[in-house]
Amino acid sequence: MEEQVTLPAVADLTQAGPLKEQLMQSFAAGASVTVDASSVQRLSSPCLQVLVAGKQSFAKAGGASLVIANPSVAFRETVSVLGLMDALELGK
Amino acid sequence: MDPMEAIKQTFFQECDELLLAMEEGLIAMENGEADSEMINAVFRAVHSIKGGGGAFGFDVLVGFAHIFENVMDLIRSDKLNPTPDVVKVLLRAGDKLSDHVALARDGGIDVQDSEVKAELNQLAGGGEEEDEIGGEAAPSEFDGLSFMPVQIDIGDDAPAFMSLEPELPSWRIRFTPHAGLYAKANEPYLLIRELGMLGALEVTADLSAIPDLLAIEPEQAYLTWNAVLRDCADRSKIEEVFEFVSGDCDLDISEIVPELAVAEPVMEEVLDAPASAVIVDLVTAAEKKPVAAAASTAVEVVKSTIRVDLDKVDRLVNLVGELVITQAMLSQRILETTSAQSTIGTGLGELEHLLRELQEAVMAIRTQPVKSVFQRMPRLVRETAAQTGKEAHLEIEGEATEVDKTVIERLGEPLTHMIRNAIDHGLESPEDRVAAGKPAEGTVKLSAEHRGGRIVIEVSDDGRGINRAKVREKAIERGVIAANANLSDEEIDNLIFLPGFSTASQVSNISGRGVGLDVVRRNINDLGGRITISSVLGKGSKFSLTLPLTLAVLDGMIVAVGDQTFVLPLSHIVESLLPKQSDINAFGSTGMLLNVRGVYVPLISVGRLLNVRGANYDVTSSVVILVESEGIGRMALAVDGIIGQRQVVIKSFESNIGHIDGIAAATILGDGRVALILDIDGLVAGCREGVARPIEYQQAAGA
Repeated sequence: MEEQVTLPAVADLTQAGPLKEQLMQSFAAGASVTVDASSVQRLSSPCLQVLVAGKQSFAKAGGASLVIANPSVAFRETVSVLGLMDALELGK
Repeated sequence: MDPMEAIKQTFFQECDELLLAMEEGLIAMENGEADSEMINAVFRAVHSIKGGGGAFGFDVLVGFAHIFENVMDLIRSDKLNPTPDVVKVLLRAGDKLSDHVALARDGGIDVQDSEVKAELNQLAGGGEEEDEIGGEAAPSEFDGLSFMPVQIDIGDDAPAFMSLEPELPSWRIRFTPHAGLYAKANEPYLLIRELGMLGALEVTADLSAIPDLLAIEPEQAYLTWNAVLRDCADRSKIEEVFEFVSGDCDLDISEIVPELAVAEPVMEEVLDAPASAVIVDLVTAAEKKPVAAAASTAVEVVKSTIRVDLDKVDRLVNLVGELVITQAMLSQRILETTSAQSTIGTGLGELEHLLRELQEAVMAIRTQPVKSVFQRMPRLVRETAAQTGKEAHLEIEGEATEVDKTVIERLGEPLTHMIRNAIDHGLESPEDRVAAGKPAEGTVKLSAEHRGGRIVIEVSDDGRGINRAKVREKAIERGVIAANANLSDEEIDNLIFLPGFSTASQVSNISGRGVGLDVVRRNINDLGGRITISSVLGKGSKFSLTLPLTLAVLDGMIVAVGDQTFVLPLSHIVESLLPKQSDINAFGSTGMLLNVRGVYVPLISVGRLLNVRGANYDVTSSVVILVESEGIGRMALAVDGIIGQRQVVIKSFESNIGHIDGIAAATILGDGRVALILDIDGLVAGCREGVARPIEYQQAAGA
């Protein structure tokens, strides 16, 4: 089972809550989730916190996984400046 | 107050205490009395100041403390022998450290420390250590200092080399946003990107605080970033980046100082920890580095203390004062209405006794040992002696003597003046001293003791004493006294307290600028104290200060004038007498003079002056109290009668009514009546301003 979550273009503070809810649903269902980050123009740290927490929780629970797909240039740039590339398993 | 500012204040308070401890230890070292625990204490004091200073970004202070600390570390690990010459450098370094702290606190001109720094570096064996923070070039000549090769102790946990210094400083930055930062739509990404423009930046995110997905609060802040920024010249640039979010994050910027391996581990600990960890560090530093074997055994029993806001203490003092007054009123009323044999009397006596003890205990909260003031004096002596080219040694006695905090606070200035005066004017030059058969090094003695409910502080020197002929000559030259005036030795000695009087033939940097002893006398008088001088030509001089133990209560003489009661401060009273008609002479239209054993003093009727109802204006049937006031001299005050001598609780009314000439404050007497405390200076000055005043009062009386 695979679910998909698409990050909005502006993933600001207000998006952190909805993002958590979406990830929670997949997590509760035991489904792997792919986060599509292709359209992200702006990414806030609160959203990143949720993604990191999700990544860690999925890994801890085992079975399902959380993968970030098609990160946009802005997404990569933000994550790399904030030193979170490894935490989100985004290669160079 | 800004929370950061409050922490900073605490830091400076701690600095004061640490500096005192350091000075104490250094002086013990100078006297050869220091044990390893004391040397450790000095090291820890310097180290803690450095650590705290680093947390607040006082780079210059940290830079200096660091070098100082290195030298102390060598001494406590027995790598460097604290010879008298070494201790002298340390004492000077201690002075400079105080200056640095003062600079960090109050701002002002930069501290000239390059010379001391060079000497310290020399001692540390690292003469080449570059002064990258202060920016001052070390002087090239190290004359008179022998190079001392020193082996540096290298712990197992530290690398054995000093890393090469980068051209520009590197910084360690720890940045923890609060939720508020996100709520205000600030974004760490933008801040860190901006930081990256200042130099080479490495960022790692600390994820340890991030909870499970289940538990995460989307709008909370969990991330912390650790960054190392290289090749950035200026700390303020880093601070600017975070300027707009300073209230919404924890930010810790510290310079990565390449340093001697020994100090590194502890240093990091301090710099990474929040500012409040300074005290804790005292303990950890001692635990982690038990270099001196004795350190572990000689653990001092620390007296536990708490910091209390002075306002709270004042309130308590005030309340107890009220309680004492109420008790006095109550017992007076009860004793008036019941027979003396009644058992109530015994109970009242016990109550009074307890209350007196309570009052003393409460007053004792406000008292401090004079040590805090005295400890600043050794430095003053060193500096003044160096400036005047004299050799001086300070002996301190009775520094544990306790006195009220307000008195302590106002003691510093007069003492500074007096000690400078003793060295500059009192002591002779070393050559002259040897010629006079004295040791080249002069002795200045500072002592404090309790005597009769007051504190007596004496400053004495073994210098040349007062040259009375010269003082007299000078006084005549200045027109202070007539050429043929017949003055006693004591009177001549007292001339030096007159404003603008200086016998120094050359105006020096230290004293002799015409401000000095007159200011001292005024300061002391303002405190309700007196200053006296005794001097023997060729043997030295001694200044004695007597001061009240507290400014909250006052020893006063209760006098009756008409239907009013007044309190005269006892410190101003010389004597009281019953005048004879023949001793009173009219002077001018309203003035009167009283002949006191051949000396005429102005005589004033308090009742007439203050227009008190029912007062006895006939001075011949009055009691006369002879008072002395600074600068104006003696004066006789006529009152209706003396009721007694008593300690009264001072109730200032300046905050409610404002200042009234001639009235210092008020008090409440045992019978519940308010009595005004007369301000002798104001009263006397008021009369002396002109004849107008008494006339005004008379007109008012006649109206």
